[in-house]
Amino acid sequence: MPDIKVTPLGAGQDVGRSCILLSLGGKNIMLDCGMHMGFNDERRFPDFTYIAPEGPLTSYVDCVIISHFHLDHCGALPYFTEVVGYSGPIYMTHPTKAIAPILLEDMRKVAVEKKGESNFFTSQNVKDCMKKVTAVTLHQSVMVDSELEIKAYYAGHVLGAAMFWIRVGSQSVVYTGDYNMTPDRHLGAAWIDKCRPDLLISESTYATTIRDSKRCRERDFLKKVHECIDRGGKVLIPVFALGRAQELCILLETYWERMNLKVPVYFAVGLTEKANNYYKMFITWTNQKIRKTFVQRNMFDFKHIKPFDKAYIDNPGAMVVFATPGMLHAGLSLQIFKKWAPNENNMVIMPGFCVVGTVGHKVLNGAKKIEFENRQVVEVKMSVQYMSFSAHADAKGIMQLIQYCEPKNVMLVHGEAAKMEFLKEKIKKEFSLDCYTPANGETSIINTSLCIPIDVSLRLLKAESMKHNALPPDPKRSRVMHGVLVMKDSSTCLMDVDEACREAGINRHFVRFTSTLRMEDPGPSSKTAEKLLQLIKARLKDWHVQLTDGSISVESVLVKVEGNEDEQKSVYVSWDNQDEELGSYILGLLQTMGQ
Amino acid sequence: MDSWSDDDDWFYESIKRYDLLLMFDFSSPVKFIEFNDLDSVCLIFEEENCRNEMSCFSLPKKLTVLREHEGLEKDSDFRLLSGGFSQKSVIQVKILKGTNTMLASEKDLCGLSVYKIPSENSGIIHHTNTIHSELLSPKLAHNKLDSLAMVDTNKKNVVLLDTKEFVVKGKIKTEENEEESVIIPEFVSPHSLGLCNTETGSVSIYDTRSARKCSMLHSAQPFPKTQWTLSSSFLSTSHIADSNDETKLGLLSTSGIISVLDTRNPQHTLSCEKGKDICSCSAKRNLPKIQFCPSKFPLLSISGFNPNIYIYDFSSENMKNIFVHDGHHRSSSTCENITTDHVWYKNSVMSACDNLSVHCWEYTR
Repeated sequence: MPDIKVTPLGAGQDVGRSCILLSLGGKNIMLDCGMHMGFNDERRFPDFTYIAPEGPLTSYVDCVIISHFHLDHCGALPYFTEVVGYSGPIYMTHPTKAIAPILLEDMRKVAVEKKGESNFFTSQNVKDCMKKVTAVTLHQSVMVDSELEIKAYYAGHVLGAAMFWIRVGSQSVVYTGDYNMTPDRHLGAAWIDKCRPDLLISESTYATTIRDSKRCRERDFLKKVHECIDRGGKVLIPVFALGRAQELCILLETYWERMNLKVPVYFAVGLTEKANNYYKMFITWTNQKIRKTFVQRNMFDFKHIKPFDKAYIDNPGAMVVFATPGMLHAGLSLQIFKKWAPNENNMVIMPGFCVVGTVGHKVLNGAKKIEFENRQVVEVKMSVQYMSFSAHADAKGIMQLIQYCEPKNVMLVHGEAAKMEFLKEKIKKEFSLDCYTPANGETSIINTSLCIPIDVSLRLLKAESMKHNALPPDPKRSRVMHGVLVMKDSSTCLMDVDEACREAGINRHFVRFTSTLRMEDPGPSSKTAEKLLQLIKARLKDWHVQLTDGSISVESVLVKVEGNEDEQKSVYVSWDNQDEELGSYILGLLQTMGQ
Repeated sequence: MDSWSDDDDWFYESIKRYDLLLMFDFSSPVKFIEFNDLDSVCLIFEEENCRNEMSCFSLPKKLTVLREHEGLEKDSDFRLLSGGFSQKSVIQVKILKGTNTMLASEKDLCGLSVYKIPSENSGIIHHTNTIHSELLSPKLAHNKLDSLAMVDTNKKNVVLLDTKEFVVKGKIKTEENEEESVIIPEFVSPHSLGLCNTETGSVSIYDTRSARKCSMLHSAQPFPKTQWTLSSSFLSTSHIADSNDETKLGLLSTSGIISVLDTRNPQHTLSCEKGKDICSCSAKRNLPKIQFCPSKFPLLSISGFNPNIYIYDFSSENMKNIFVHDGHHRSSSTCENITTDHVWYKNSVMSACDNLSVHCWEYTR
């Protein structure tokens, strides 16, 4: 049986660096190449020694597929190409290719400039890595080579995130990366057709989670912002340029309009421009409402949200500001934070993950005093709020995706092992599917049934249909169809014998078998023939059995009786090779009678 | 900018109405909610193929942390700890806190099924054994200590089970003689068991140590074609160690009558009210539910008539409706849905509706 082998090098039973090695049909594909943001040593990278003990990895890996720009999915890619030395094809969507280098550079800066790491990839490494990338379009079939085919599907989650369908021969796998089954304000929901892959590899970060509704999380955000501005406070929201920032802006804009609020809301200059450029470039990746609005006007040209000027930092009264970077480790957001932190009326809302060592990480851990390089100490009296707006599929979403694409097996990665036992049971109970949850370095082998597509000639189909009164095939009652399998070039076709002979340019030959029985039956041979006729008719009720010129015939089977009245009779049974089964049956029947 | 959804108004209003609001959608309706400990809850879902899915979840941190630390907590999700399936259709469950043991009364089962909720990472709630008794699909009441009362609702016999040793430690022969009546039990104190006649609303209190009847309480006024259910403040206040408020009994009828009685003064009804805008619920559905707030406030909640949860202040003789949680209606396209269960968690309420929604909420006082 052909197997599919899957070895997580990261994200097997943990949340962190996603990197999965997939082997099918003799091809090896690396799915994502993420970095674990919680480690500072070699544990942050996937363990590439599982791929091959030595030698260039390009020989072992046929291609790398990156699902989206989050660093836990692409953060180790420059390391893999520029340090480890992989030089084969790399595929990702257009938005991912545009945005990933920005995050990689940001991460590199934090690691080198903030944390003082020396052994890290360089800016040039990032650029060189991205030059090796081939961008793909949604639903576009891409032949990596003559056997390996991939196709990207919309995953929601973040701009440019994709699920990938991978096929080699008759085996196929779908890898989801991170996805979201419910639409949000600026992105649609994940979608895939009923492709029935042999294996669905699904992220399960929230597989054992039932997520609080997005509306409630938005409500919580609006409530906190409103309470702060009601008491005259200022709200700082550190964001990355792309992703949740747009979502939150749309949310605030709608709320401000509905509640007729006049408190100013600002968006850092440059942030808007960059965001607008990317969304314009990739408008087809946003949801329908955004696309429709964008046609009329710029979606991110807000009525209530205006560009921020540094001079506004000291303005009295309430305001809300979106500023980069997202972890408060540098730039405008840090500058604003230092000014506003000592005032208990103010608030900072952290909408995303913060790397250890950053100011964002410190305030989320409850730090009340933060010391900076210039010995400046800032007291943190402002209210600190941590909110998650990440768009991942939860347990219900995963079950939905399984229902959509109807895989034959399921594998859960990027989640916590222990809690997935029950989810595995549920998948088995509801879909009767085997579910795998391998750990890092553990290889799961999935048996797949060999499925070779074969054409059938029209003539053969018509002949078969006539035999069964033109009734269509019944899945519960199989029908045997005889033909000749002809393999020509890359096609395989089942055809009838005459067609096959013509195809092969040979003459058809017939083989006839004859067997002789001895029978003790006094009397004329015609009477013996009569007895045999009745016997055969009784046993072969559905067949046309006739006696003509002293010979019994059923299809090509002939039974002839010879001998004088007092002599032992000789019964000659002969048949064509096509009627081997029938001939053998009748012979056996007569032999029994003879005995 | 155009509004994105017609639901926006309700959510914007909810910013003022609720201090806390978490909403969840499951793939099956939740039938029962039972706390396992202070940080986790078991949800029993509606049966499918005569078995119920039972799942144990950790409570969202936003619900469990102190309000002053809530901002630093981003976790607002239920996390699955373990799950399993019942042997048969579940009638009622009781969780023995601190032991990771769930006792289930099941359809057509004489006795109880015992399930183990794993504390380690095995993930599966599994059936360990069956406690056999002569009581068929009994109703259950637990005194939060070491006694479980099992009541055969038709034969009116009560069996007391020691929940440490799982042995029968006593039996009570009740004085109920109305053949048509159904009895449901509820402890009103560690050693006082109340048996409510669902037809009349009268409650007989039995001392479980002597197996003798101590007193009898009646609902405010009998109503034809109604059924009654009960709850005691003893059950709610067990979460809070220093509460002295252990003597209130709440009775609720399917026609929406709410009575609060004092078990020390059975003749006196503390408070009574006919719930406004509450239509009688069908007897074919499960009985509605009444619960006391575990905090010091004189509050109770009722559900089971429609998609709403109603909170009443019973500090005066005329009970006052002070809040209606209508959030489940937002999740539903019809008004025909019914809440299936609700429980208090400190000052918050966790409620479930047959439209697959589960909410955790605390209204703004």
